[in-house]
Amino acid sequence: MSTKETLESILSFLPFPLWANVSILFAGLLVVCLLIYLIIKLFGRMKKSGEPSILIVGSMNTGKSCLFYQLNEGEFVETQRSMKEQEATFAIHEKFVKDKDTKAQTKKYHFIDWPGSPSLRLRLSDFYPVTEKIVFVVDGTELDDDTFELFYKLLSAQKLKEKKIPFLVALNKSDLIDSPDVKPMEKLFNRELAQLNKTYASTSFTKEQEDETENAITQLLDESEEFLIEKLQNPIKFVKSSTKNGQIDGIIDFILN
Amino acid sequence: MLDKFLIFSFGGRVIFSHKFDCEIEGEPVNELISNILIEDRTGSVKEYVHENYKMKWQIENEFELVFVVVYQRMLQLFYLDKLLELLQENFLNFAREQINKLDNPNKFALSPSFFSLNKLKLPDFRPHFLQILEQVEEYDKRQKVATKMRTFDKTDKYKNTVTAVKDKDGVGKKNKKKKNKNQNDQDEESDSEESNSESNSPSLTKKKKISKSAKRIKKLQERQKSGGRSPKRNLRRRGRGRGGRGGRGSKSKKKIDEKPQKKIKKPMKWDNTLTKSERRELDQGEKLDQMQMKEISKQNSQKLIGDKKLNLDFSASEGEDDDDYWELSNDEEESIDEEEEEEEKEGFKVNLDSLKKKKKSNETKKKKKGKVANFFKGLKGNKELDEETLEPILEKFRDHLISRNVDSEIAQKISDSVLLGLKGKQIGTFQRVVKIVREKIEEVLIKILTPKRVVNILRDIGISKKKKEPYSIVFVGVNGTGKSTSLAKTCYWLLQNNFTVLIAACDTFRSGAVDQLRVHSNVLGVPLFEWGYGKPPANIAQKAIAHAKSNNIDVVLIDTAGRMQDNELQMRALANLIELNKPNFVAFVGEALVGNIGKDQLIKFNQGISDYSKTNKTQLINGIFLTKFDTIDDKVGAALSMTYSSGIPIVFLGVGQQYVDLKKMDVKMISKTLIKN
Repeated sequence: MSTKETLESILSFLPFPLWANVSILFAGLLVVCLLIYLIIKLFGRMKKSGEPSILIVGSMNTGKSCLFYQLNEGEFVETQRSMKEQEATFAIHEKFVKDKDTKAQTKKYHFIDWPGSPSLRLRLSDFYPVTEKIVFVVDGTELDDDTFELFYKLLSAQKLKEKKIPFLVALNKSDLIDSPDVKPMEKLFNRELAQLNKTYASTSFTKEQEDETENAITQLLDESEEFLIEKLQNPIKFVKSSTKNGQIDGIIDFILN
Repeated sequence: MLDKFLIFSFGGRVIFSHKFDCEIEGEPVNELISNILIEDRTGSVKEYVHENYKMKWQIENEFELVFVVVYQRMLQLFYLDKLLELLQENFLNFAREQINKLDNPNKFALSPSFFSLNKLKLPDFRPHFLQILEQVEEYDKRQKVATKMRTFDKTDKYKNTVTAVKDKDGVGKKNKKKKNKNQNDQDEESDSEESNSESNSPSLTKKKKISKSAKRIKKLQERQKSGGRSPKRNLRRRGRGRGGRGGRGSKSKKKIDEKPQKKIKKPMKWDNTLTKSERRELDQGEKLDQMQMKEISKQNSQKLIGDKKLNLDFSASEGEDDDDYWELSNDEEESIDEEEEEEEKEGFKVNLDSLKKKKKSNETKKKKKGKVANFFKGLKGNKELDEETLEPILEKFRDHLISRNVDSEIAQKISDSVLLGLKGKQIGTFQRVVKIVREKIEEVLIKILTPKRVVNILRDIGISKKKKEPYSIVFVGVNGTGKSTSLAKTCYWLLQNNFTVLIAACDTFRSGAVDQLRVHSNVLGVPLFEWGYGKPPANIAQKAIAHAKSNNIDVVLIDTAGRMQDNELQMRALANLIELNKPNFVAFVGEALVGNIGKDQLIKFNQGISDYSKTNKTQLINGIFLTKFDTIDDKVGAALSMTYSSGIPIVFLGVGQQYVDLKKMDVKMISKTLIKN
């Protein structure tokens, strides 16, 4: 009896009889539970996509998917041209972190392997907010315009500049005879980027187009001074690698540090 | 006969590959991926040719796998579609079996990442693959052998001859022997019935009770024999008119004894009082599907309504009651029965008949489940997208695209690719199908509109400048599209980027063309190279470029006369100009207002330039200038039509008549405008 009276007194603010009040209370609790569940689900989805990741990009046929599988499985996997991006969270394969500390051996990273085809490049900018580091894979033996254009585009992205995301240029296919060394490649990159720099000076119509900020390519450095990669906001390193043979030490160091 | 078979995931991992005897030159599969699969052109083509190889493929959206078979271009293999489908089913079953064999099968589940990340190392699929291949090749070989010619007595021609009329008891000379032979062999025999002729002349075929699968095989054979056309069509052509369906049609077994009823012509209903069945009857589209699907698909038309798989439609669809009036001759019946027995005796794992039956039973099972099950399935969280759900949504989008001035054929192709790209995909509970379709369509549009190679004219000019050579841009197009105005705008833009420009007036035909350019050159402060009217434009261009070179001018802008794409003489002149001067960039100037004809113009221009030139390697159109973009509001579909059909990227948009009204192509903006409701 006392419980009934206490309940009545608690729920007296509601105008209905006791049983109606109780049922309303229950219904209210149910709704609140449902809302919490939905929020958690949404939040969970958002959180998943917000994981700091390492982006593997480059132009076509440079060995990005190969690198992705080397990191995961430690061996060379035959690949075809990627049609879609691949993402996975895993720890680097033990083969590469044998002589490093336990943290390196067990820490999991979220890798995103982006296809090299230009048609699929537009959505790449959606992943800039979650990018922590960028591994830019280059075919050392066959450099085309597209490589430099993509590199320039990445460097000029606002979100990557702000956070000073580090870049690693992996000169892949070092197992081939005519693969170049790091120093000459640095100079070549410097030259090509300088040239591209001139072409992206702001002209009349680019000023008007303010809607497309994510994919807009802006001038990196002022034209009047000499273009040097060191002057750019993002730290850039160059290494040689061979994803076919598994010689990716430079890349591993970059990831772990 | 085949060169290579591959199974790979969307992400790029090769899951299974089998190489036949020869080495493959080049990378045909990569080209297939780049040109067809990435661009989502899967709806419009069924096979892809690259150099010496032809490729057929099958996409499995649920697990993000692609099955590709590569073979020599010259061969014509009809069994490949069947082979791909069988391999697809078999491979997935194989994977499932491997999971079930484990101690804890619940640890793994079939999903895209299962294959692409190789979560479970699968044993070699090769023996299964080779076995299936062998079976399919055998089946194909037997098919070709089993068809025999009819004997003379069974043809129509014989029935109309004197001897046939004379034999009123229904048994011809030759058939007497055969009849006796059959009586000894088989027991079942029904009375002789009239076959295809309208007259009372006795026919000679004995009709037997034939199983449905035998009928289907027979149909396949006939189809192959007649080179892909439905045999009914051949029959029709012999002057039966369109009474094929109405006259004999369904349930002919029962009706043949009755007298043919006089068909009274019912008045046509023009208003909205049609019942559903009547409406379906009037829908010629469906009938066309079933009768002429294969022929149409071979001619590469785009009238694919729904996704009826032509080559593999073994399971009986509803309208297949026409084969009732086809009677089989005794010999063919025998051979078919023997075939069936053979197949069952050998006990093949993949019995094609049983596969057909399984398919049919699966389909009927699915249909029985109905809406209630779908509702619960939706709650559970794993809804699978299929044609029925996708088709009405896609139709709405198609109409929407067409209302935005996209070519209707192209809208159809895009919706076909989207259908193929979404079929079989699993979606979660809280996702609406319309939203998914919209996202996919936007993705496809972006892919189509994004240029395959980055076009950076300023950078190329910089390179030419280093080589101390002038960079030449030629403006071509039909009359009135805005070439001279675009030229002036480009000139202004280049001046802003600190390049020196020379304008070459190679439009010597239109009155006032040279004067117009003179005005522009005066206003912009740029030299004009002209030679008056009536002189040959190719020579003027040549001299202009030489002049630019000697005076260290960076860019030469060449204006040409407007011309019709069908006019051979004018196209020849244009090809000549381009061949002689080898410009660095050929810009096609097209109007955004124009609609479907723009696509035609572009393709014919491109073709004309390459056909009428004397060398093999010609400079084709490098980019499109789309003008008068400010006049169209949101009907931006012309951009899509042009890019889709030719693959040439749109470089600039003209948005007004002032010098500053030149914009770079914004892919995201256009695709959003196309989708926006």
